[in-house]
Amino acid sequence: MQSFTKPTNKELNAALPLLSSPEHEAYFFSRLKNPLWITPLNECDIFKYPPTAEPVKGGGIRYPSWPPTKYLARMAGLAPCEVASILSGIETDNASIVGDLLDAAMAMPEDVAASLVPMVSNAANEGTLYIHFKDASDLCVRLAEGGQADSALQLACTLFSPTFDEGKKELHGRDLYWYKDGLARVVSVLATRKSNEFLKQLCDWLRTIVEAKNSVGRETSFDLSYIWRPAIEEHEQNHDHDLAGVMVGYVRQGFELAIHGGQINFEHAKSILDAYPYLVFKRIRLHLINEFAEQVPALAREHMLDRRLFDNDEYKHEYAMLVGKRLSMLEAEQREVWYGWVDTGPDMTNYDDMIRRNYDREATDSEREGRKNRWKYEKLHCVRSHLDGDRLKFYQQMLADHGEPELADLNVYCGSIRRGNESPIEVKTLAAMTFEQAVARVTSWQPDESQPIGPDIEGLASTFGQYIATNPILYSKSARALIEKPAIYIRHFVRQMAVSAKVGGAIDLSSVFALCQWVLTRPLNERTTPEQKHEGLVDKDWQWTRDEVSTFVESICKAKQDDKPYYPLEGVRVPLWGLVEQLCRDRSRSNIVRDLSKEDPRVLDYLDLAINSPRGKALEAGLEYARWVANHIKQVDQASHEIVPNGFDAMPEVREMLEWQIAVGNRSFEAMAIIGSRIWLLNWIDQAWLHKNSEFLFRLHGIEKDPQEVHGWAAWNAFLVWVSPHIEFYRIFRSQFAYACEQAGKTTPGRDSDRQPMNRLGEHLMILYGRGQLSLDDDNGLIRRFINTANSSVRRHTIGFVGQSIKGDDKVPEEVTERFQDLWELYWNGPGKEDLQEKPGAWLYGTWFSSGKFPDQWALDKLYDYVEVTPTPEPDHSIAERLAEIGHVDILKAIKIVDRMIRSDSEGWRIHGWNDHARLLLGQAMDAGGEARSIAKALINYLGRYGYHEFGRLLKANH
Amino acid sequence: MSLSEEPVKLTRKQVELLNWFRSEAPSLADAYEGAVRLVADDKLPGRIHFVAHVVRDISDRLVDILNSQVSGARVQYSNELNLIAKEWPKIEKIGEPDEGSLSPATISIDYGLAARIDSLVSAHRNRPTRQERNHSLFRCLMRSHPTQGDVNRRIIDEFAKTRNWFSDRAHLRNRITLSLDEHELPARFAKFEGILHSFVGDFFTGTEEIDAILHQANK
Repeated sequence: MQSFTKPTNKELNAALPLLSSPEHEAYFFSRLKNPLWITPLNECDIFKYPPTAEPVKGGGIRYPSWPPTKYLARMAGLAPCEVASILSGIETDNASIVGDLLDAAMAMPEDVAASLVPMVSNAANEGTLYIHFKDASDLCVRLAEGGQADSALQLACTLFSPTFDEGKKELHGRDLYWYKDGLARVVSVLATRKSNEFLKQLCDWLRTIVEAKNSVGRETSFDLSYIWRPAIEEHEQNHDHDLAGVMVGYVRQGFELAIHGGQINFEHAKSILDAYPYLVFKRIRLHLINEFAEQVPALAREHMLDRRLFDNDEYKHEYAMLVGKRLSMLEAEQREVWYGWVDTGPDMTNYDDMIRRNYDREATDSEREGRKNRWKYEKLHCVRSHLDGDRLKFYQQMLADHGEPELADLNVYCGSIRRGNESPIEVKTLAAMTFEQAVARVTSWQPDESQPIGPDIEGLASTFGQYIATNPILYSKSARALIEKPAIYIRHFVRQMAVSAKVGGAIDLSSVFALCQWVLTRPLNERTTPEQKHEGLVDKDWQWTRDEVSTFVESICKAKQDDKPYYPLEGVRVPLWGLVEQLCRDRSRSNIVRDLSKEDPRVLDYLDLAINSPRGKALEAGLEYARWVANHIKQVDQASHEIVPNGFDAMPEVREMLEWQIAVGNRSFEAMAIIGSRIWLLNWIDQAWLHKNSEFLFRLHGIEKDPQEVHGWAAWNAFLVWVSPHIEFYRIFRSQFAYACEQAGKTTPGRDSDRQPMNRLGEHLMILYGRGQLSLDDDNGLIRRFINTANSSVRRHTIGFVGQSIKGDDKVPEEVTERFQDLWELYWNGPGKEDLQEKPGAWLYGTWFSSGKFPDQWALDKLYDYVEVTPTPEPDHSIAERLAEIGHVDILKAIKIVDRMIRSDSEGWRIHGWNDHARLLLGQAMDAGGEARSIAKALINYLGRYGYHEFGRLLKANH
Repeated sequence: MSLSEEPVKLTRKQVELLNWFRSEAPSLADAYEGAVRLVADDKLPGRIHFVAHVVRDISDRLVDILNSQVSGARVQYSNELNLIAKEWPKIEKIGEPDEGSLSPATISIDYGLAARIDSLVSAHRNRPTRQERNHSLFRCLMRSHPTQGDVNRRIIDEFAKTRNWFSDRAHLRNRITLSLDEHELPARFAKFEGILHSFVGDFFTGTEEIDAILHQANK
């Protein structure tokens, strides 16, 4: 061991004033390794005033840590008596100090640690042990193992005595997990070291917990324990969420350990258990008789031949275990007595009444016989390893017929059940048939009766789909075989055709078209499978199948080979459009249920509703059809642009469908949103058509006259959100952009996201501005107006978007950065400061600065202004990184920025993420001298007080 | 005898303390600097009284100076009494003696005057104790610390003891053995400075001294 010296008075007097501030105190005590300082420090009252628990604003309690007691805990192994003497005199409500005490106790010899038990017990009683419960349990185990059983028992009683608040079932003041964890470990040692007292204590605790249950009859000793603890031994049917059940396990374990270890004999154990009235204690006793039957063979035999136990279901499990394991202990004639009880069969006195009462009919002979056989079977199951002759044959036959009886030795059984999607037929069975046979087999199957579990139509249809997937090309040829069959099977078939078509599978289109055409002729509301109570997701009409046809059309149009359409126009176009035409007027209402009546349509993206509506799906198919046709007929013009000759004149069917969809009276949010999201496609196919219809398509003003007139917003918002910005669109929709900008100040976006239409409006404008296609002054200063009048949330998103975009761009031309510098000046001298004050954590200038794309001095100047408004700019790590790179340009300004960022960090953890960058900057400032050095020096000292002692090296290096 | 002509070289801690006084409590800065010089000049007779005055005054007044930067501070007895005195009549003018007695059981004064007296008495009753003032002082000293910890009561007691030692020596008393105190003065003054410096001096100046102690202790 290291040889230390005791401090002199002079050393002590010199040291103490230096430790006055909490920060210096912490610095000293976290480094002191000399145990000989303990007593002198104690004489100077150093350990006299530990900090108390502090209530925290807004609720909760803070437990300040205290370096002096942490020092004591560290010294406990070297000077246990001194440490114990000091700690045992501390009165505290501070859980952190209690934690130090426990650490110290764990490091001391057990006999010394025992002196701290009263203090730990006191902490437990005061409720300050909660977060150190595990440590206290560890101490309890250590004391017991270390020959301090009395102290361990005293501590265990404090820790584990269960108490309950009035009317509550949860333990008072203890976390159940740590309670169970701790008790499990304590039982394993105390049961053999302080057996008598500890086992009585365990039984007391079990009784307390049992009596806290509502279902317990104190007079009758009835406790329902066979429900909450089905088996006394560890068993899969026991549940660990029931505290009483868990405690039974500890009691059993304690008795077993003590008897096995020879600390107590069975009679002693029995005398303890007999003092408690409840059923569960009697069950534990029966369990122990079985466990220690060799020690008490007469008692074991007596219990096996106790007819009351044989008949009493309350002891069902323990009795079954006893006879199952110990039947051979009976004499032959005694065994015959027992088997005779089984052969006689159950008491059938009330059986007929029970059938009458429950089923309103008379019992049959077969039912009576079945009941008797089942009862015998369960009894014999308990002694199955002892069976021979006819009884064995009977048992084996019953086992083969009925499987293992789950309730032979239990009153309740919990098991998992399968729900739904169970198929009565396997894929391999279907695969062994012809397609027609498979279809016939599948479509003729009917579930016996309505059941929540077991095979069902949904499961069968899914299996049918898997079967189709095994060879879709082959089965497509036989698609017509499904005509007149139920919708659910056709739906699964068409889905597999769509999957195959999408990857260019050579499916027989004409057959599949014929099937689809037939589907579309069916009355929408026709029911094709019998209605059942528990039928899951079974088609109630033809809508889901129609939706699947839309998906099938879309898949065909999307299929490509060598970047060209896979399917030719010839022979496909006409039947394909034939399907689309019939689907495009399907119900527009989405499958997603959402009340839009209270939402502002100007800030909603309707596309998620649209793609989940029948008409939306059909329209997607129709527009994919248009792209497919266009890709077939497109040409390249002189400017190397791909064009679609004659536009919609080359596909008038699409134009007609679109014009129907946007016509007043036919409009729907869903269809308009789909169209808005495909503006790029429409512009490519026929820009003139788009020009002509833009006012009508994006009719935004209507909302002012009629609040219901909002379909134009559905199209417009989908355009903003889902179409990339382009100056061509701006030119076409100039008036809509102007109007939407005006509305940006009159709306309140519900949530801030990239899919928020008003946020996307800002992004469109910024991209056009950045490209130089739209200046601040264009169109009567549209961007200026947007920046000044838009909702602050939208503005913040817009400005933040610029920073993030620039940051992600490798090369940003100088003219672009200059434009954005102008924009920042406009924003910052306008609403920027207020926006930031409203949400100081917003990523506004932080991303601009950290992008590194702007001139260094300008970037620093702006950041300096920015941190004047918010000293916590985000993202702080990126900002600090960039500051470290360019701080040398104006080190005074840079160090002032860092100073403000650090001093505003009230939690003290933000700098963790960037202290390397901070160190670099502080070093530069120290080297720079003058005011920068003064600020840096003060900041280094400030960080030192915060516990960042490593920064102190910068001072030494710069003396 | 006069003050030594030799310039006193202030230690780094003293420079930091002096700078802090100049910044945060300028009215006490010169007094502190003077005390430093007096402590260093062991030839000056009676210096202990002068130093004691300074330490006592700094200990007592610092909290008000620091607090005044936040809000108004202590009760201004003199000002309040001056206002009362302006309105207070001679007592014989307030009431005539009752028949058969030499002085009246009750007298009457204006409500406004009574309210002013009541206010002064209330303020006096509610004035903080010395311990509360010391606690308040350390809270002020920790105002700019990043940690939100509270100061330990041991420090408050220690500071009070140090202040009292000097206060006892601010005026001549027979029972004080001056020759012994002269020897103790530098150590007491260093303790006073040490406590203050730990709170308001540079953190790493303090840790340098602590490191030296730790080096010795952990050897």
